[in-house]
Amino acid sequence: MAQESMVSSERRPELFWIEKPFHVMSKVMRVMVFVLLLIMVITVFANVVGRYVFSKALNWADEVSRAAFVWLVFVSIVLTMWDRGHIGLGNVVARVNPVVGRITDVLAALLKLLFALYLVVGGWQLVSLTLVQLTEYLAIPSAYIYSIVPVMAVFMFIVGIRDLLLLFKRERVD
Amino acid sequence: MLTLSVFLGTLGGTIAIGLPIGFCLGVAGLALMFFSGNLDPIIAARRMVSGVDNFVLMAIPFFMLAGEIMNRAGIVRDILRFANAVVGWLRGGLGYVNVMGSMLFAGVTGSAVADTSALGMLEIPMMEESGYDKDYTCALTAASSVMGPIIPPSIPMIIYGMISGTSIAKLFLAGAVPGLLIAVSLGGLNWYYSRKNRYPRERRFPLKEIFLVFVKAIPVLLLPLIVLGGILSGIFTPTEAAAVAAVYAAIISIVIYRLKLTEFFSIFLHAARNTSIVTLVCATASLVTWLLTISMVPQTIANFVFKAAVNPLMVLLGINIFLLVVGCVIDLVPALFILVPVMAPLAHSIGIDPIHFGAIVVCNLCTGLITPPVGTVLYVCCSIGKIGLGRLVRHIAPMIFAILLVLIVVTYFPRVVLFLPNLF
Repeated sequence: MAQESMVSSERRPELFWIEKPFHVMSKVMRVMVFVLLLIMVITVFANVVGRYVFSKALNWADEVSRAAFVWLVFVSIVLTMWDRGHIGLGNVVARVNPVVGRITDVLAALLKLLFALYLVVGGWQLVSLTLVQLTEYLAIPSAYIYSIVPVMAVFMFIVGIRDLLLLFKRERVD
Repeated sequence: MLTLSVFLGTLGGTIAIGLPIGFCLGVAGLALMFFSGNLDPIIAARRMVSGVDNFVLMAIPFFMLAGEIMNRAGIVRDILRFANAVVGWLRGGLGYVNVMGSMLFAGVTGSAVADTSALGMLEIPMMEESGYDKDYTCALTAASSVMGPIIPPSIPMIIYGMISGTSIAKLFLAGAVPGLLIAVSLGGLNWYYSRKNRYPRERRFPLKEIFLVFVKAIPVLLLPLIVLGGILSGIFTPTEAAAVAAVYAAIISIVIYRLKLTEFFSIFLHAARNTSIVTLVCATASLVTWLLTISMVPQTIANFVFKAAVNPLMVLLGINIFLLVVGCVIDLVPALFILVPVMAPLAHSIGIDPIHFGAIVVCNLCTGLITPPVGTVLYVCCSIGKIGLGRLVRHIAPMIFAILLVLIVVTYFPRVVLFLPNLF
């Protein structure tokens, strides 16, 4: 399950109007993930070096790495969703009864959409509430960090739509 | 109790229709909010963010990164060569090499799937060529990967420590002895099967060669020492240790193993992908946990257990069985996020040491990685060894029993687990 590379997402049988732009977008997101993880490694490592070599704790580094992590988490969750990498049991109902299984497949896709939509709204509220709340060391609004939540929730929604459309287009997903 | 049934019903239902578990937890969260009449979307967003905005959690991508770098650099070959020099000359030598290789590799990664896929790719063809049965080879490869997340560094231990607020350094140490015991028990099985099936010996290495192979393996063997030593001596936190491990892995793989810099892009993405599988569950689980906690579900369950039972040993036995059953159906990481918030306080209230309990939970759920129907390691092993699940399950059964014996020791003889963490 973990071995399929995140780098290549070649197995695109049919490109929907929705998939082509997202495919380009996903490349941007892959670069983002790389940069964010790199920032995390560097800042956390720099903090250790700073403490022992220059005997100075870098408080800002701690904050930067955590912000980068929050971004990394949400971007990579969507990317993995795009590559169908999140673990699940698979549709057990479909194994028992294929017809009902089709319906539950659609239900599962709809639930994913519902959750994404909910997160779009929630994320938006979170951002608008934290515009005035400043972070401890960098003194930037926390909203900048949280802004990734509604943005990625929108992408989550788009991926959800793709999954739903694929259900109608193809015999079975997976 | 009604809250709990809403939660379990939604969770079970959504899991059964094939929704990824991270989303199942999210939907179960929505159901709980709907049930409690407070459908404010900001709660979901805030809880999910606070669930992942955690310095400890950051150790996971770093350890994933370190393991992936080491793996891509080709250290597995050196690990196996070293193990071969040490135990290969025994009857059934490659079986011991398999077990010892997993043990050493476990010191580099914290996950079992990485262990199976990286080692299995080399071990399975190697053992088959030497005349071992394919079934036995695959079963041993899968069973020995269970050590991956038990021997430190360990991602499940990080998760347990984070949720229960227990020292991760001590949890790491608590995993060391159970991990070694699993190695010993699998080694014992290999001893028996090798005699029975007359498995071959490998050539004996001259001392000088053993030394050379050992020297080549030193950079790899150093990694767990840096991580554990650094954390225990208080030089750095577990997260910092993980970052140091990643930097260390990058340096030795570039300098010694000549890993190309261009490879790093895909290595990073791979680590991020595997992390995202954990963090999605973490984010949505923290929403659910929060909702369950404000409706007092953990306390209700604890009270229930208090009234029903009785002596802690019975409770432990119940927990063992329950975790094994859960481990059969739910993957390790989601199981941790769902169960630990409820079970850790419960265990604490009946007087079980939190470190000991961490070892019990992790060993239990790791056994679940090789039990059907949902055993991630089993599937990976099937696809690498090109063998059917049914055949693999039949041959892995005795090994599961061997690991269960270790589990009994871990559960009922706390001193075996705790003497190492108590030294510090």
